[in-house]
Amino acid sequence: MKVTINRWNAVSTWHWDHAQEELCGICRVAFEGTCPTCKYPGDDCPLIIGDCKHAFHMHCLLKWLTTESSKGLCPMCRRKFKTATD
Amino acid sequence: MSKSASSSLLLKQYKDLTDPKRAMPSFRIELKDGNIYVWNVAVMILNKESIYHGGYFKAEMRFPSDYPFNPPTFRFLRPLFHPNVYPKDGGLCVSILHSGVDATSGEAPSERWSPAQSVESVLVSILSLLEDPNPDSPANVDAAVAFRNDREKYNNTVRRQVEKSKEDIPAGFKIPESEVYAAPQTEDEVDDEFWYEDAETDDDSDEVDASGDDDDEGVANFDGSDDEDVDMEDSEDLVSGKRVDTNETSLDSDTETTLMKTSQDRKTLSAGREPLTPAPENEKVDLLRETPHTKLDPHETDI
Repeated sequence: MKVTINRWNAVSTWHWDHAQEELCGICRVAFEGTCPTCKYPGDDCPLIIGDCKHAFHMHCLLKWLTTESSKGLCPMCRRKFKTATD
Repeated sequence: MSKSASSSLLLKQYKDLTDPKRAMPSFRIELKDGNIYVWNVAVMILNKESIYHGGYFKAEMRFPSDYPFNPPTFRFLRPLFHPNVYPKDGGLCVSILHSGVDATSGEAPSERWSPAQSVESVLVSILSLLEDPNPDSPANVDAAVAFRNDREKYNNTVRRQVEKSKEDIPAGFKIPESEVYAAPQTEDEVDDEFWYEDAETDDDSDEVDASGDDDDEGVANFDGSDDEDVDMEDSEDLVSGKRVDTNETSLDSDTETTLMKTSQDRKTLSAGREPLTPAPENEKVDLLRETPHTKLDPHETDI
């Protein structure tokens, strides 16, 4: 049997390469979604991962770190939040 | 902009907390005038051993427009005789509601507000504070002194207030009997049974040491997740189901060999037992049953 392909639709899925949790601990929206201030997921609304391995939407975490009460601590483990370098 | 962020997060948590399937029976929550930033919360103490048992304590919870970056406030609407409730306004002295700015309180930062907290975690803290007062940092000195030195007086005052609070129970509302989540008796029942069975079999079948052990360790780790020494690095080991107590400098290759070794051990074990019992089947079931525990974790951390 011969088949001629006239048209095909490609569908792909993506997820961040960070499997530990699914939701941002601050805004409780999926990592693959956006922080509450963004419109487009992905590179426009990236994740940030700390030395402590806790991940958040970058915008959510930065907003927390600018508050005085954060004292620069990770919301999860309250260690000093330092962006993981790798 | 930020306002809509906080309101959508609050709406989500409100829905979760009022969803009849998932709601905590100790709380009855309504919005005040439909305002997502002001909640009317009724706290019910369902623990029959608590002197606050039977009370229906109305309270008001207010959320800042930048929630969750700042904590909500919580106050009881009737006077409540409790070492950690301010007699003046019914406010509550509980560290989880304090933001990190206040340096005078002497609370460890680990107990203070963080945006990773949720309404549910706040309510759970309040519930546990009500049942287990902390007279060392009193908001109501009289109550703290009575709690310490004159328990009879303390209990009597509380009992009077519990009776009084029952006037607030809305007509037709019945205080739940059980502290367990008020899930309807449907499929969820089956799930509960499943977990129960699981725990049972774990206890019964001690043959494979490793499985029993790391179950416990896994749960312990997630409960006490602020234990600084237990890195997330280690948790990988936990998930993969092997030792916890090795050195911090756990070499990955080392882990792998250990893992391989145990799986070999298991094989030998089960092979050796084969003549006596249909062990391999059991083993399989055990291993299968272990996996749901990792699924449980997100749930655990939620709380």
